[in-house]
Amino acid sequence: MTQSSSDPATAGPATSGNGLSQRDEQTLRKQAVAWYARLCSGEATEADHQGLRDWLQQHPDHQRAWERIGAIRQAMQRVPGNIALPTLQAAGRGRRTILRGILLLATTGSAGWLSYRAAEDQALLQPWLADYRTGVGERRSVALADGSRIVLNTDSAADVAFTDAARTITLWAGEILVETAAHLQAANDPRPFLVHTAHGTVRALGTRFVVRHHGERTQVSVLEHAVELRPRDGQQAQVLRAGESAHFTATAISPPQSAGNAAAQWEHGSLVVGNARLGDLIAELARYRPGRLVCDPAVADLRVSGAYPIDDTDQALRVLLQSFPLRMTRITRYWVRIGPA
Amino acid sequence: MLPVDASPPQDLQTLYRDHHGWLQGWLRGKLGNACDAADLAQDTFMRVLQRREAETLREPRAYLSTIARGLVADFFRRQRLEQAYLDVLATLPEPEAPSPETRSIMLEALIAIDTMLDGMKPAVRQAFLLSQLEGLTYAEIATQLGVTKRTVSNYMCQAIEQCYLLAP
Repeated sequence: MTQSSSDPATAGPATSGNGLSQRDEQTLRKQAVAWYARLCSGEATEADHQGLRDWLQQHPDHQRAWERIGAIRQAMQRVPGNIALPTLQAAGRGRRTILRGILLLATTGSAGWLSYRAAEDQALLQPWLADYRTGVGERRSVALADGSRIVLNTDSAADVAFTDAARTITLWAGEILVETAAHLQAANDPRPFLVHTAHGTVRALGTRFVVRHHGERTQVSVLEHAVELRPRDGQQAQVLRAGESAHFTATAISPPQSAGNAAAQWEHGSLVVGNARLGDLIAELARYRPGRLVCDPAVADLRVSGAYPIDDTDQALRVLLQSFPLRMTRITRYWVRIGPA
Repeated sequence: MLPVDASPPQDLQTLYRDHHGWLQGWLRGKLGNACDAADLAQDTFMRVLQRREAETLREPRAYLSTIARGLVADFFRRQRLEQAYLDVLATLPEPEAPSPETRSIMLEALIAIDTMLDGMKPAVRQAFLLSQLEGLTYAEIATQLGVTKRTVSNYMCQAIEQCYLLAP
């Protein structure tokens, strides 16, 4: 990575050797801040992510400092962005700054740690540490050691762990396409091929399928052959066949619905919908662009069909505006609303 | 200038008896109404009670007014944020508007964020919000703010460091 004053590597003294005795909170803080700033830049490299993992391994204090970053993310995610951003922007204008010093004094003591919820915050940070990640609007194909392949869709994170006993993918966020198709050597590998999410496990049965982490549930769509779904806390597993799609939570599986090939067209840069609600289409397009894209409820129930380019969502929106009586309002450059004309 | 009070160490009861009236008057001057002033005077003594430092106070009025000043700032911040929040809610179409319960939870969460961001330079605050709430890259933020990526990176380090210290 390029050298700059904000580089984690230069933010504090080296941490090897007998550095522990010289460690102080400020150094620790500067390092954690620099790592996080680097990861937020949109230009973090694989070396950066590896560097962070190494740094976290070096000392429990590093983990502790990183947990404070988790607390920041936790705080920032408690309110939907479409409300938080304009509110905090408006509240910030014309602010007088006389009280900063007092506040800093009042809250930097050890009490600041007490209300902190480590486990919850770690879950939010996990995607940053994953083996494979994509940013918003990005896609990435990864060839695995057994000849199978995964493709990460926009804003996704997954770990890959192959052992003698199993081939395991952990999907932390977003969506992946998994291909262990029969013509690939992976189909002959005797080890089970498993995809874990927060809600349970998907076991591949010689197949091609899509797993999407929706936050509160996991969605699986099977394109070829079959998979077996097993909710984390559920008793029963269920087999899902080609052309079927289902959701599951930690305890239950939804009835299968029919799913066409459209479920994986994102791999080729298209979002394909047939007779879908405009509101749902807009929500899907929003995944592929930075900022906020919202649909006015007044037009959300319009029915739309077609293939929309996800690598150029502006073009996708233009196509919609040409086909329907719609109007696009830019509230800010990164906050776009689709409403009635 | 606050008077220097040379009275001997005293417990909270004495502190309350000797200075409550004075504090309430001081707060009324800041807030412009007696009702809020009485509430914040009470809150100030609650803080003192929680800190259990009353017995060692050498300058009780300076100490009380320092705490009270923080509470006054919180009070005004809360008012301003609540107004901004209501303004934003008013722009949302009906189905997107949160329920009353959700509203008050969200307001608390917004106040927590706002407290964390307090005192940041406007550009620093804006860069941080765009990064954390909108997921913009530094290049995108740089374009929007009309500064270099390097500057955005510096802003972010400042903002993250303050949040590191102040996050709940």
